[in-house]
Amino acid sequence: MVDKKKIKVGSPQTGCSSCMPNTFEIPLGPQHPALKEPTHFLLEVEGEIIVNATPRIGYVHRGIEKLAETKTYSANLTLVERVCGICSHIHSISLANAAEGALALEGFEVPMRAQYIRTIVAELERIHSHILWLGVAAHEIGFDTLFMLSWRDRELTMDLLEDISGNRVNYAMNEIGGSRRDMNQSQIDRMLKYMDITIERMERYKDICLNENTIRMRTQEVGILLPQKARELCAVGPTARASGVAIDVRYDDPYSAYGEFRDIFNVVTYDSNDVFSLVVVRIIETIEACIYIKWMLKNIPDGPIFKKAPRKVPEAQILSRTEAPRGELIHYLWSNNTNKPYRLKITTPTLSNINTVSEMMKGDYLADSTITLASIDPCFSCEDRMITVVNNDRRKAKVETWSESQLRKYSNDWHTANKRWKK
Amino acid sequence: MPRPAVIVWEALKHVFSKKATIDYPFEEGVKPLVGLRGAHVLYIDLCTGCRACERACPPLAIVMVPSELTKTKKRPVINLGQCIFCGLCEDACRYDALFLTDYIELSAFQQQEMIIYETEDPKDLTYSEGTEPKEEDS
Repeated sequence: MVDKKKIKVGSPQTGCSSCMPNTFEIPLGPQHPALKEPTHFLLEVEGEIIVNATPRIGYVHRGIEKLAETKTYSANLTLVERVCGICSHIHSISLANAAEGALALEGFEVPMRAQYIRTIVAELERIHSHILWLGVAAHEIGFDTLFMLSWRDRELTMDLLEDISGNRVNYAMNEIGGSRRDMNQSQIDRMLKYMDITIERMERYKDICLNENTIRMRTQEVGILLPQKARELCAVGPTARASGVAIDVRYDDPYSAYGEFRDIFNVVTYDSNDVFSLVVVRIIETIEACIYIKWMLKNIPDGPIFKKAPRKVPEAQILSRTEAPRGELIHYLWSNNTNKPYRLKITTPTLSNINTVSEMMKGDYLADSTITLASIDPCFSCEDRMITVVNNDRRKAKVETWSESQLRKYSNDWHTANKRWKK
Repeated sequence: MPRPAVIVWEALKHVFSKKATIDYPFEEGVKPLVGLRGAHVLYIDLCTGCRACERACPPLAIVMVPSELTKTKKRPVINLGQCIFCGLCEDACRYDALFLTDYIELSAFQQQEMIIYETEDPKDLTYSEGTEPKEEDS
């Protein structure tokens, strides 16, 4: 058996196949049984051990940011929901917060009951996303019983969401200025009942994960991401929290109704820095989310759920941060006093986390690469953006840093050479 | 370490527990009593052809066609294949002429079958069985 630590510490030659004649390159993707969406990882292996992994994105770019410039704000709320199939509601909250932030310059305020309803749906979505991930991770390590049991329990949350919003996946609950549907007492009672059942079941899975060898043997000491590296690579969400970095937008920069229960909010962290840590963090977060929902249902204020907003959003540049189930989600909105956005830029958590995968894979066995990749809960079509690969052979790519004067000289030369480029 | 007592207890518990799945095509699926977003119903008598639904529709699934039955000589035609069931048309309609029902079994063999209210036959424009709306829902 090869000592993992020896390779993990690594020599500066890793990644250069000409220096290490014993390494082979294995492509993972774009089409691979373990991947639900297309992406590409170039794995350099030495025997069974991965010594380097290079991600490449850009296979499923859909141009949603550009399409958003042609639609009105209320139509855009349903469009940005389609960015991600699992964390759909949080995208619409993020855009609504951005537009309402611009409207707040003219004194516009969203009713508090609407904020509570938004937050409840967002937390329900976090529960079903985390349970879905638990099932997928169990499937990747060959523990299909847990996969089926956890997806059975996910149905409770899905039924609640269907009951509240009328749809199972893309809820279309938000509108600029509030929520589109109210909750009645019978729905609230049903939710409280189901949350108790979910907490009970998740405690059971926590017990299974902490005590059964089936999960521990496949996940412990696999995909190690040290806190220092997590900070360096800008990891967000559960990926960062599993490395002991306590960051959570819900606590650090509360939006919607999260500011109301900041004193009972726990930022869940775990310190074993591996995939097992990610499993534990996600399960505990699910239980925490149930507790927040119960708190919100008991303290939901009365009042209107919607306040009619003006069609035109005043000129502003707003950066809206929210915590999606996978991590920090950023919507950057540039409005120009019309009913359509001038620019919209979306940064999803997987884009921040994709570089951590190649760090986590280093020093692991090839067979563990799928669970390591699945452990960040990747969502590739969310994060995809248009890229231009200038140099096809990345190993021979020449990297140079240009100073400002050099850049200016280059641009001046280019314009003199192509004087009539506009025509 | 393996825990045989736990394994046996779990197995026994699941032998006597209720089935979690539904035999769907032969049994009725579970759906909420009110508020489901399914196929549209259009009351052509109430419709004025004001184009509010067409303007509200995010995926441009609603198209106005010439008609003799409405005030503005226009009426909506809905493509369920493009529809995202967001319900914005329902909210936009001021005359309660267009709303969503709980009819969700929408699969068809041809794309053309997904376009509803295409012809101006009065039989098609009134609701067919299965999509009948309840008065208290709207």
